[in-house]
Amino acid sequence: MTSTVSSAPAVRRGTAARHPYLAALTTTRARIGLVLVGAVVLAGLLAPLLSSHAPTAQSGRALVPPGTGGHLLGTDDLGRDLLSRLLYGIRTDLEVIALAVPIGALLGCAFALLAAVHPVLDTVVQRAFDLVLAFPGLILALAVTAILGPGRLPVIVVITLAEIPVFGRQLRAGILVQRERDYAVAARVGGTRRARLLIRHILPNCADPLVVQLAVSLTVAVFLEGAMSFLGVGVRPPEPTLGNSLSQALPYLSQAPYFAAGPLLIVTLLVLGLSLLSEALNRETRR
Amino acid sequence: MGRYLLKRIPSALVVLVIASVVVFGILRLVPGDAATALAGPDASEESVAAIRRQLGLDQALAVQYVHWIGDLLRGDLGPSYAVGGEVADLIGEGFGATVELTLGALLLTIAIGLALGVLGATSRRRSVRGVVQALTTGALAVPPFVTGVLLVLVLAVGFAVLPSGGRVGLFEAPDLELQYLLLPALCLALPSAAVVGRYLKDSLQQAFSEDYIRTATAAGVSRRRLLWRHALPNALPPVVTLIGMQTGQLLGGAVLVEAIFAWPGLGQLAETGLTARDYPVVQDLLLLLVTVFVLVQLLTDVVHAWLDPRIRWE
Amino acid sequence: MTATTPASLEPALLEVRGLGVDFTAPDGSPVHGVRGVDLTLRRGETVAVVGESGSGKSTTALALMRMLPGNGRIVSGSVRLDRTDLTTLGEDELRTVRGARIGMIFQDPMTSLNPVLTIGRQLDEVLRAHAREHDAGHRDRRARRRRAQELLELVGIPDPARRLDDHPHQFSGGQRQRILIAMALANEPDVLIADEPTTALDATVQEQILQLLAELNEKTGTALLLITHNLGVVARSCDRVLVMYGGTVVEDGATADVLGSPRHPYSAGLLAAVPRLSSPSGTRLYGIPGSPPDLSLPVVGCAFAARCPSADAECGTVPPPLVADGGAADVRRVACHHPGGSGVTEVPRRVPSEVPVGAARTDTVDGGAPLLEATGLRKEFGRRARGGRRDPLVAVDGVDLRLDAGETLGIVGESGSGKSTLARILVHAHPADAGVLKLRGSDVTRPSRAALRALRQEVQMVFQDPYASLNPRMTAGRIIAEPLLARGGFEDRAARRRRVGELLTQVGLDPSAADRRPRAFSGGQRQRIGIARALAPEPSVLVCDEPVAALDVSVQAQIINLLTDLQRELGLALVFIAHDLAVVRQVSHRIAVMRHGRFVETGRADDLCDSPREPYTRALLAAAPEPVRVPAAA
Repeated sequence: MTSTVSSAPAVRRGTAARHPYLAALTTTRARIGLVLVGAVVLAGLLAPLLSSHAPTAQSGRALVPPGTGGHLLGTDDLGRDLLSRLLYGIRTDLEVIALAVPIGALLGCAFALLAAVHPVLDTVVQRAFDLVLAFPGLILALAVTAILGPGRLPVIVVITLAEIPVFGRQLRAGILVQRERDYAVAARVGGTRRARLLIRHILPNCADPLVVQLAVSLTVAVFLEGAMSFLGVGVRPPEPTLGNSLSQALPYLSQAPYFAAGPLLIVTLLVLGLSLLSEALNRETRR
Repeated sequence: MGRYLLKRIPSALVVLVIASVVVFGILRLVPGDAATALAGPDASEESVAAIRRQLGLDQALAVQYVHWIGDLLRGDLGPSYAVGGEVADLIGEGFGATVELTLGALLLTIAIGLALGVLGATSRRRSVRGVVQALTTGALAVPPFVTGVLLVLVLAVGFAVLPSGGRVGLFEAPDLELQYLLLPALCLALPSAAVVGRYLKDSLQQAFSEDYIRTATAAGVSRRRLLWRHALPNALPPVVTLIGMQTGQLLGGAVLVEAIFAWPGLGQLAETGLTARDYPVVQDLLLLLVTVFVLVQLLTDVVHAWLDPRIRWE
Repeated sequence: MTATTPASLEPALLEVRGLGVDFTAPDGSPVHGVRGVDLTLRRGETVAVVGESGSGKSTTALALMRMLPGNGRIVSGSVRLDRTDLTTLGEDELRTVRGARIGMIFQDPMTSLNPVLTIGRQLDEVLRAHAREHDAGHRDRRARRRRAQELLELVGIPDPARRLDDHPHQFSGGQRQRILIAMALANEPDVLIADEPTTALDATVQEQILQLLAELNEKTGTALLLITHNLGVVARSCDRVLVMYGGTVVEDGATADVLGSPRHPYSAGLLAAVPRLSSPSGTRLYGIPGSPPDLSLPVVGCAFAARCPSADAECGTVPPPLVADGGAADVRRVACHHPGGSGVTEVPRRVPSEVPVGAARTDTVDGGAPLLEATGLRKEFGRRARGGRRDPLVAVDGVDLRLDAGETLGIVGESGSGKSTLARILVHAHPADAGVLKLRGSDVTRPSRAALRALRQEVQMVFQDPYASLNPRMTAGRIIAEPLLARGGFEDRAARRRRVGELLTQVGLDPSAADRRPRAFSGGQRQRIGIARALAPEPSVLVCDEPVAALDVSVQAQIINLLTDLQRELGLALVFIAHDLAVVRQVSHRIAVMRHGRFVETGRADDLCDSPREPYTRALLAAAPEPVRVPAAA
């Protein structure tokens, strides 16, 4: 080789292969988010250990203020222990959300990949997304509940349905941009097959906004569960959720504000934590 | 511009047609039909069948669908099965209230969103940007039902400055109505306002990093004009699209807010209608909401095109 | 400098002393973008600042206007405009300077105009911004519109009255740059700073813009500070030139002196690296070895020491001051311990290649079917005109070409000529709409799956943008291994790794580079990775689409030399696409000139350049600025 051999690659300082997600998670913003989300999740997971009463057991002493009769947070209008209802409520919420959001995200991504295969499929998938989006979220919830009856299932279905077009559109837009990029053309010219090109080359480059969206969607799911329970079309009482605990507390607001305080605080903390996480990820990946 | 609108209309129509089929289909999927619900729990097979025949529910689904759409196009919404009265009247009543609530919330969304976005992107004071950031995150973090409860707790129960729920009607007592409207509209608007504000902030920051802003700065254009005359016109079009999407969210969220504040709107009608399996009410109602949403999207597209000359000439 | 300034010269209009600019890197560490820059600009003078990317030339320009991006700040020095120090002015006072006393134009006319405002509005904004300092005339809206119209006329936009109401996207790139010049000149500034004003433009348009700037300089007496990387542009339009490297000025003097007999080894190397249109086909380019310094690391001694042929121990430790060189009456300063030293004169200016390239081709012409042959290639892109009528854009419109083994076919064209689309058709990234493409005599226009696989091994491509063409999520090793996997025969990990190592060595990189991701490499190194990927399937045809357009001149030469060496060693046939006729001439056996999707002229490289037949070819040749020819004073 007669051409000049360039000096050792100039590895820039500070960029030493730290993944942007990891970098994002070490920011103050994300740390606070992680602590908040972690604490709430842990409380839900450890519910059986942390609570001394069964969440549905009625003690016969209704609306006891916090700290009396072994009820740390008091009791509700039916005399059930508010602490255990809160902890088990978190648990129910987490179970529903942890199932529904990933399913929605995966299905959305699957549809987007499908749309990338052929223009006709693309049109069909696009119109389907438009259709789902045309139904305002809670109206969709009412309709789904009418078919399936109240319970956990409709909550999961509604959240999943609502998330499919959100993820689907985002990924589709990403694929459209990425597949015209030079590196994708280069891989194609290099002989890489279509499926491999899509999955191994293009998909990783579309991932950033999806990860951010995942955090956002988790917060939306907390909202949706709460709203459905609040409207009485969600998880059926007496099983506690954050949403139905709140709606139950509404009539007693002036009389027993501590009744609403627990679920209010937890929902806010959980969503706040998730928002902080999504913001941190967003900032770091957009660099 | 007119041509641009014409190009958008077909796909909107497609969505509407499919939506009508879906709406119609969903209700037929609900276990137990209207006749069983109407006849009551102890009715005999024959009386159920009679009701079914009377309502036309024994006909083929396709026939029922065509009848429904045909009547709709003629403006005949027919009587309700279970709630009682004419569907047109029922929807008319609730529609006014819901539109009032949604529009109120939309105005608040735009106002608060603009303020948050502009301040967050351009304030030179770190503290101001911090407060904006905190407000945005806060408004996003607290679900509307929680905001609703809190607002009621503080403003209606604690200080008793605003009514905690209900509605008096905009035309009967406008000043009083605004008091009644403020809490529910604010509660409905806050999350959307935060979304709009955050997006506008990003959009403005993006615009401020563009070359044309550098050109204008180098020409000595003042900071204020840079913002209002140069950056904002570029940042706005995508925000308009977002506001269009948020209008859908507001329509949906209204159902919830109506429940919290005892606002007599479509949300309550939808709930009653669904539980009673009142096909005509629910069908027409859902289709109405979807139509409004699709129209809002269309309007958004037009405004977007009007704001962005590059699209106008495409 | 002030000490040696002859009294006859007028006082400086703009005087920069010891300017230093620091940036804060994302990880918080400082990057010294500009260090101790001195610059003097007199009324009516034209001065060029040349340097490659990262030399600090654009940063200097932005710092003069106090328009550094948020992470940059002036850390030392002064910028005096008629004795006012701009570095100490407040925001409001600065505003009265920007656009009024100093106008500025930027590199990319496509993004520098506000897309949603009409041209009239944008000119109006500029006039309005300084209406108060100006005469009362500019306070009246109609007066401003008249002035805007005058300005458009001044910069040569036809039908200015009507065009004021058009939006930027309705103008061509050259016209947009004219409008930007009109905006910069609107308030009759004393100084016009032009930051790479012609880099984004085609050669013929570039020529027009330079001419316009020269005319305006003469007509209005505005002093011009021209920031550029293009030595040809400097030679064409500037009285004096400053050469920057690694954030400092390394040489400063009259254009004729600096370009005629450079004293700093970097200036000499840069000049030697510029491809010249006058050099015949097959001339080997001189490339400065290595890559520019990493400014986030402290620079000890001379920034150029690591790449300098005449560097010694002193250069590595003591930074050379910028001092007057020789006793010439004219001011000439060099920052070098060994100015014009032996090392510089030994720079191999032109090395004739061992094999006369012209001869190689005639042998193969008789030998059977050509390697690659195209007839009547055509490609349209669906596009809609106003009002939704179909108005397809014909990107490639009936192209015939043939390429023999071991031959280089150069394709020259301006932006939009369809040359990139043609490249993509040749490598089957897009299918052709019509025409026939033959590889070794067999028709491959619409290949079957199996034929396409075979074809992917024979024909490979090197892309223009070394940043966009490498997948940021993959390591260099995986990027290069990808075609190996697709081709098969390299399922064994160790074998694959060995082959990747070989390929990396072949393109002049260390095999250890395989484990790093693209962002760890410089532009030139990335392009080498791109070439290694293209070589992986052992192709016989390499289509290079503007392979050096995104690279600095000194690096450009390295890549071109690498490509020609590889061609000789591996017997590759090259299709070399570029907009720069000088580059194309030196690497090609034959040249095709492309315009509006067609070949307007083809011929042997030297014949075509020395005696062009078509007027368009002649225009292209005339527009290519030569760095050695210094224009006589106008």
